[in-house]
Amino acid sequence: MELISEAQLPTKFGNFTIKVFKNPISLVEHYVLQTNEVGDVTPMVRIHSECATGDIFGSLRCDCQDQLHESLSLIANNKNGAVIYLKNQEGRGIGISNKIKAYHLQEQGLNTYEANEELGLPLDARTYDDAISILKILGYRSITLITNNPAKEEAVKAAGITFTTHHISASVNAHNKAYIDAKINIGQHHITL
Amino acid sequence: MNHSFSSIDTALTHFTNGGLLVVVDDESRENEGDIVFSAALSTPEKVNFCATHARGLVCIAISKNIAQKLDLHPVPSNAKDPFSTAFHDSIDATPAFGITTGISAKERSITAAHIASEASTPNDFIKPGHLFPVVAKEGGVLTRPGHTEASVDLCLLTNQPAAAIICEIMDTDGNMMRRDGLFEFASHHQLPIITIQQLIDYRKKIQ
Ligand SMILES: [Zn+2]
Repeated sequence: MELISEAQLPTKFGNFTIKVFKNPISLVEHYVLQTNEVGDVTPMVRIHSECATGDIFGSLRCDCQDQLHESLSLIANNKNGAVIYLKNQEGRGIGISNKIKAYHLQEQGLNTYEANEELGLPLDARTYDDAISILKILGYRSITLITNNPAKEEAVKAAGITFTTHHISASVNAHNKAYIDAKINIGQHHITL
Repeated sequence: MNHSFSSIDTALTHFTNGGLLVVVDDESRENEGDIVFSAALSTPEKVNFCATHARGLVCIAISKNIAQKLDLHPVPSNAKDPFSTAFHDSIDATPAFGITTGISAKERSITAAHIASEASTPNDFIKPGHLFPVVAKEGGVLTRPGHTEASVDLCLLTNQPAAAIICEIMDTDGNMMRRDGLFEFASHHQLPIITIQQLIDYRKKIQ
């Protein structure tokens, strides 16, 4: 993993440094929004998988934008930590066109996991290897991990990074109720509604 | 299964930028997937990825021109390989280029880059070594639909020296990884995956 570029990025959530890291094998470029205004607090970290429909357009089919924005606020207020924004993980790592096909199947009554299965896609194609490499480069040994996803906790634990988990609450609406239910029941996410 | 292959354009762009591709041959042929990347753009990390994740034999596919320029000869054959892979003398770059034993990912990457280099001469290499050149048939995939030809064709289609590192992808159980596994492998490592048939079609189209 190679640090390609970095610059200051003031945002409505607070001031961050944006860093672009490139995986030399896949050539995928991930973004990190980092702040270390205060050095002696435990950094808060969010590993966020890209979701164009949610993050950019505010789709109500998922709760990605809420989670991203809440994480940025938490990290800015903590004055130490980072969002690791994993690119090319679109729709659980299956690509934007497949994600939209899966949405079409969901319109016919399948849940997220069933739709992926119907498309012959792996249940969860996401990998956190790149995120772990970036965490190590950032020098984080002990963190507060912002997540409801046990797979992310597993990945951080396996990397030997000590952490406590900060769960974030999900905002349920008429469009994402099935999505959230599937996350809880099949993905085993710890979600407080 | 509704797995789909990457487009040739995606693969060529990725290859041009030094990225790794998964290239699969016909299911009625070897039915294997190889990692392929430009030797001129080799790095120790990429060779290490082959050794760690693909776990086949790390070879370097080259054109006949490069084989002749570097005075590499075919390894004597008893002609039992049904696919007649054209193995040539194994080589390492000389100690002048920082080679000690020749096997580390770093040293194999150095050897690969020198094979691809226009400036290299036969005196820059020692035989035998730890990198295994396989020589593509003239005419590339239109003559022989193998990984060797596909790799050299990828170099030529992207205006790079005709040398590419290739390594077969083995499953964790030691068997060769087949289609479904290869799709998962490519997805997991976020690498484009193409067939040799796609390259054949592309070459016919642009001719
Ligand atoms: Zn989303």
